[in-house]
Amino acid sequence: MNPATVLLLGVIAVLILAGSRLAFGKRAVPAWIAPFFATGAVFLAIGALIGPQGANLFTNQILQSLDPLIVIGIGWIGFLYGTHFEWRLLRRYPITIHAATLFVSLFTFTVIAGTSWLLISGVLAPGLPWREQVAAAAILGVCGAGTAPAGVFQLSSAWRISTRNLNVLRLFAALDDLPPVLLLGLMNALLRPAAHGSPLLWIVYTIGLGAGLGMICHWLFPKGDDARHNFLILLGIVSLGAGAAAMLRLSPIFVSALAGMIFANLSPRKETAYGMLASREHTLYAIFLLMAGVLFRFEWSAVATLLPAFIGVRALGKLMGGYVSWRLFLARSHISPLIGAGLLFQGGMALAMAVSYDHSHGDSMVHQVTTTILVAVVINDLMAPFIAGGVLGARRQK
Amino acid sequence: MTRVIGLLGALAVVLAVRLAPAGDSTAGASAVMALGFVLIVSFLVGDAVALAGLPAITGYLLAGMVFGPYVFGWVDPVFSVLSRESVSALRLLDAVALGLIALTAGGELRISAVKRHWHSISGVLGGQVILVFAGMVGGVLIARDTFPALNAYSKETALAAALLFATVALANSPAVVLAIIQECRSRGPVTDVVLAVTVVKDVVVIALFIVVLSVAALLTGANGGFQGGVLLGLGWEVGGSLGAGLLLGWLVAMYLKHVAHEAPLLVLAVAFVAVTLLPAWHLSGILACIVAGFYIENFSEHGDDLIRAIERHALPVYVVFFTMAGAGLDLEALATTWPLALYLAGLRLGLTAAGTALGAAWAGSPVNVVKHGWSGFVAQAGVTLGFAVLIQQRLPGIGEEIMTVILAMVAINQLLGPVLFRLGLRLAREIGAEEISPGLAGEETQNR
Repeated sequence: MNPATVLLLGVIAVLILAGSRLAFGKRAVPAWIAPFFATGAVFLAIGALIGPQGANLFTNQILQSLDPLIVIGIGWIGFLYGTHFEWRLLRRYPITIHAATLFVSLFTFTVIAGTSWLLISGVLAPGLPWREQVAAAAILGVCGAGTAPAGVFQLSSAWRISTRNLNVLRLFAALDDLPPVLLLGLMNALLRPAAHGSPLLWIVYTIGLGAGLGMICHWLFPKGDDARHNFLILLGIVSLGAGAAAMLRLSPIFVSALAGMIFANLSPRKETAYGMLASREHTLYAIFLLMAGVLFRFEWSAVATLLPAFIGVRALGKLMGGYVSWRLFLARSHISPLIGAGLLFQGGMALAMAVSYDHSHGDSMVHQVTTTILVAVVINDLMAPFIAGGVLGARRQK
Repeated sequence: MTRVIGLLGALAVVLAVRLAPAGDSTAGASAVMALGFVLIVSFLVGDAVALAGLPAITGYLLAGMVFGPYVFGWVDPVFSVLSRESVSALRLLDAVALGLIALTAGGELRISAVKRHWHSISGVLGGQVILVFAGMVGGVLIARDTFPALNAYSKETALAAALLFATVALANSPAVVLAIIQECRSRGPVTDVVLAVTVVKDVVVIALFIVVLSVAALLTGANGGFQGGVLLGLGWEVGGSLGAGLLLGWLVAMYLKHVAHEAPLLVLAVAFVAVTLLPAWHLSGILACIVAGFYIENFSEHGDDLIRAIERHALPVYVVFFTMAGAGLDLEALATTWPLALYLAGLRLGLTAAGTALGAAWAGSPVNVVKHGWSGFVAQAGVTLGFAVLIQQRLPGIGEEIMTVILAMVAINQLLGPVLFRLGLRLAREIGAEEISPGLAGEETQNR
């Protein structure tokens, strides 16, 4: 490792520190750019600027040594996400909310994945093997289906939106990444080379690995209050799960999320674990996004083709999905039929899924797809507050 | 019982993944899985050996040995969770661990304690350097006829080997000392003196080694014998490292004073940058980290902030560091050279005990330092292994053999050292709250 690159790592650390003050601190940031910081997209941008397609300050050796950090970061995000799904809390919400969330998410996924598949198989990469075409379309679908809770939080602090609409938006944003995570897990199990054996077997592996790790975490999570021991076991479980999933070419996000879910529903010490995971989230998330930004290979041709389609179809899917789900499940609840306009924010989970795809696939569409998702996240985060505020009839906070 | 099931479950996951037909994956994935396994299993083994009154790091070392290339890997490479590739992929963490341990060692060194025990520190240091060095040289030369490996050397070569063994015998492991002190929450004269002598001796031994290596090269006729530039280089390495450490310490202190945000990340970054960047300029990153930690602790108001930030994240670092050290212990070398290695380790142990006791008694140290202080100077690790590699590189012909013996000696001392130091602290009645420090507990209890 030469001195310049190591020095550069020091510079990156300083950038992380400065960025995290703006991204996660309480200092006021102009409203129009706040989502860019709130979702952590700023770290991706910094990473991209210093990466191989920017200043190109990293050697291949450094890039390879960053690989474990990416895998751990994906696992950490997945596990933390999974711990939110505690049955005891979920069943407090009306079934109509769950149904509406599921519908909007799956509808958006279907619309984006379908359109993307038509574009990829018909125009962009007709010669690509069908598995890769489907994988590329599906990853665009899963990354577009969810909503960033941080974005909705920003919306509520910058715009005056009716409490009913806001509460529903918060619930949607908290829950609607679950179908994409499940679909991602399925996708990694099903879209494998035939030589790997039956896809059903890989589904069993995926579920068995996630559930098994959740139970191991439950058994091993220390009963004492020593924060160092708790951190050690959580880091161990997250690393073991994400590493094992990545080695098997399964989805580290799904496996970790499932482990988190199982743990949250079994362990009496889930609050302690959640606190531990959340307290380290900012630092790990910042490192993860920065490294992801460095490792991304931007394919700017995607900006002219896939990107406009992705942003447009996603907005349409959210709006139409929101309207139909309102008609089906929420018509009597006095919320806006255009509630889907408040679900355009994208963020951490979409980025983590894109990074995970980028990390595990090597086909020619990968860079176009990941570029599309990355740029779309930034654009959606910047546009979403204004669209949501305008459509939902809100006024700016003074 | 649940822990045993958890342990078996973790092992089952790793073995199932190794046997599954999933095709190629990235090196990072394999390393991350190994890391997860290391963290879980070493922690549990460490906990189990602690029940038997042994230090947790002995458990980490044992776990590394068992799951490394020599035990499970000997049965079948599939079972070697810590394969050489995995260990290599985790070097990034190893570098961070070294820097972090050095920062903490410096941070634990308080001027008030150094002043209070100054006579003891200088007495013990002087006693060890004189007695261990002279005794080892004599002991190796006397035993020349007994061990075939030494008997084959000419007089000059045997003297070179004796000088090198003597210098290497002086080296200790700050990492072990620090880990045991933190694990035992020990406080007292033995703790203070052992820590201070270990840190100061690191500088002395590095300087001595550079000179001795040049003399050995001259004696054996290897290229690059003694040159005047060696002393200049030594001056640069020590002086430059001190300067770099002061600069790093000042920068961190300024950051802690004016920003104080994401301190753990900053500490990790500083440790990593120092240990990997400074050697390129022929400076010692470890020495710079020790000085930086010392500066922050003693010349800024934020020493406690630094130590707290490190302690919160230090356990995974220690677990990984010592498990990797266990996996890296050269059991093959021990199997082939054990008689000579055992003789040298025994000689070193006796001379260290005598040197420490005589030096401490001469300086009028507290009786516990005289009786039990030696126990902290048995363990050897990183610096010694670094010396072994340099000897192999600089002295073609005999370097390989000397390195093998040193590796075997390190294996013995590394296993024995933590156990003896913990025992010494216990006999000196310096072990405090052994289990959990209340000050560290409850840090994570944030509510949703």
